[in-house]
Amino acid sequence: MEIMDREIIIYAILLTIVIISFILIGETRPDVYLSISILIYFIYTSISRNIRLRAKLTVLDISLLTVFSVIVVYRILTILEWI
Amino acid sequence: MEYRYLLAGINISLISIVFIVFGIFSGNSIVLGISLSTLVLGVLLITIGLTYVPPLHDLLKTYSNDLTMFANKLLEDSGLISSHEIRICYNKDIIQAVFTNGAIDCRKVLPGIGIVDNVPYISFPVKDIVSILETEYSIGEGIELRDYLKDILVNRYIVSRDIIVDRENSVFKIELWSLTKDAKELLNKPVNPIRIIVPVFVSRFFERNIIVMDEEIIGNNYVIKMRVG
Repeated sequence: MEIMDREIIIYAILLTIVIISFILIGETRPDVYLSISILIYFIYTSISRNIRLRAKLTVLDISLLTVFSVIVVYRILTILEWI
Repeated sequence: MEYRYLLAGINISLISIVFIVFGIFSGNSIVLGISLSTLVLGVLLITIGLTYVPPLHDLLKTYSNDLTMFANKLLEDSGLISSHEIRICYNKDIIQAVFTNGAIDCRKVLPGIGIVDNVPYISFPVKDIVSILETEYSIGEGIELRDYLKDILVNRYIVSRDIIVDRENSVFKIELWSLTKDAKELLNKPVNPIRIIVPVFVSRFFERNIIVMDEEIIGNNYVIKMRVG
């Protein structure tokens, strides 16, 4: 198996573990699932250099960072009861 | 581009989108959350599939650049840098790209640096790339030069977005339409793969010698005129 295949499978397994954990604790907020998935993406691709070395992820990084920021801003505004 | 990842990514993304729609309409926020998470994986796989660079690619690119610099230095030292023309000498056993500044008898040309009838030349044997491609792209009855070149230069190596071939007797005008960024970078140097491979494939197609008569970069297009000998 190629290193790249192995790393993608590890990422998929990590994601599955997190999703199952959320289901087990009864998490129902979709934005939590999404934001944690994005966090896992950034953490995993930072640690595992192979994916970044072989693929250009800049556009995806910017997109996911934007989505993550929107979720965080939305949560802050909710806590402050501005929306 | 790596189609395995692309295909897997598209599949995962499509399934995720179906479940996202289902989650929204059924009001099931857990399904929606799971689908959004899976969509991240799908989009990651699509991005990897679209932008994948084979591991050796970068190393070979650097090595090729160094070799090109060496070849350019040879061309400079031989006094051919400003007034050379490219010829492709076709032979069943060997195909050579020859840089020379005058008419030269292809039968006397040997790989390397040499002089034939007081005409200096530098010759690169290019048999390997042709023989590799021969197993994948057959030349036979009914196959047009444009289709042959398009298969190799556009579909396989993505040198340009399209290709136009005009013919006037034995003179061919080949236009590589909308060069890719990588191809355009390569064209900046006197000796570069693009200048060599286009006439080489034409030579292989006709199994004849080729003389490159004119080359021009117009905007994002590369126009090359050659005579089939």
